[in-house]
Amino acid sequence: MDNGVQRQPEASGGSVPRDVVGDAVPSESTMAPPTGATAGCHPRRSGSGRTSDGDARAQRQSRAGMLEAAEDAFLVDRAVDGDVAAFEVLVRRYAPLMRAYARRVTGSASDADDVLQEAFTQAWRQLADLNDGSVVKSWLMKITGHRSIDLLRRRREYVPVDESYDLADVAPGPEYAAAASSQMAALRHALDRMPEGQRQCWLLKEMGAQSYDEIAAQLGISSATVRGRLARARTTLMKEMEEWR
Amino acid sequence: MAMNGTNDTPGAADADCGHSIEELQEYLETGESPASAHIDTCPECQSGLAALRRLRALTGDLISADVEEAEKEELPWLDGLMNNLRLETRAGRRIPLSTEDELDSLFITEGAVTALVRAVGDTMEGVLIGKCRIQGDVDAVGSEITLDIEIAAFFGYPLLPMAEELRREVRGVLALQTELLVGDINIRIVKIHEHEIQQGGSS
Repeated sequence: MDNGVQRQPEASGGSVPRDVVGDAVPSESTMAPPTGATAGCHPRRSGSGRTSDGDARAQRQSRAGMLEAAEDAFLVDRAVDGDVAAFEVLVRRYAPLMRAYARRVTGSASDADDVLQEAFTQAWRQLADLNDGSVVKSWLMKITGHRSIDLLRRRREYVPVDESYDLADVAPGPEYAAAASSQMAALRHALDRMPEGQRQCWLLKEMGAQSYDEIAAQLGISSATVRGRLARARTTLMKEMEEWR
Repeated sequence: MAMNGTNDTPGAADADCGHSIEELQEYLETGESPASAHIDTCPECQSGLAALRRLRALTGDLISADVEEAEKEELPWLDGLMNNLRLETRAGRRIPLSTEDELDSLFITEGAVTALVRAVGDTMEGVLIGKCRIQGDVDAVGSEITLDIEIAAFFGYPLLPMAEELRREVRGVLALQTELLVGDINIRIVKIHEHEIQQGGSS
């Protein structure tokens, strides 16, 4: 029974098989194997039976390498279907950016990692609601911002307000400080000293790329207040920076 | 250039010419402003714009440096997190299996079937299985279903033999492991990866 190959009804007299209706099919000339590989697709599993342990390990590594090359939307599709391995590739891909963001907002390295775990768990549960997998990066950043603000809010219920959280545990080492420009040091310093409300607005806007309305909803303030805080934050940062020019 | 007063910016340090930081920022981000004619010629606005550009560049540098710093540390919670997520299965529909005793009810989940399909694809070189959908009435035992599979292919593997191989393998595994009556298997190649993949072992 050879109904293994179904072909599309001939559309325009050509014989384009249904398989190749993707968006990036190379032309005939580029379809040749690059290094004299033989035809066929080299199934690792030969007809003879089970794979050896070594083969299985190589296979896993090879698959991990292939997943890492895959695009966000593709990994999202797989993850929505339940593939944890695909989701893990997304986690590794965006954890550094999300961690950097959460550290700035929460001011603490350990809180930031708590935020990341919460954010990824939420993302896994809600991934099917994401209509366009190619925007998963900004979607993850939005969740990270939300979770960071939530954590600050929760923490405030237990800790006196005037107890400050310094960034000592995330401060870069001396080798880094030496390489950084004095302007960047000034920016860090100015950010750290900024009133928290302004800093949150600025971070949600500049790192989280959120809109005024989104920031307003998240912080429970009006859009006009967000605008005002952002304007003051920018003015302060510009002044501090200009002093270092 | 006439300015209407609708976009006041509370608390912003306005330039002497009356235009706010926020207006300049918006001009910088969108390239448009009702006051663009003024801004383009006003020295104060121009110097404000220049400062905002520097701030934007510096902000980018700061984020890059933060990310670089964040990358240096491992994700010690990664394995635990993934194990937890694995427990939150995505089962999908229940596909009944025939039983000898009418009182028994056996089924396999849709999620288990798509996992099988992925497992098949992952044993082949040059192909990655993406979205996989089972079309048809899976509740009725013996009714024919259609499989829609999206794949990403890697450069250098002939597409047609690959698709045929994949169909053959998927059909074989589903016949072995399920009672699904598999009709068409539609394979859609959604991406060709041009670079070669580092293989984990010798082949």
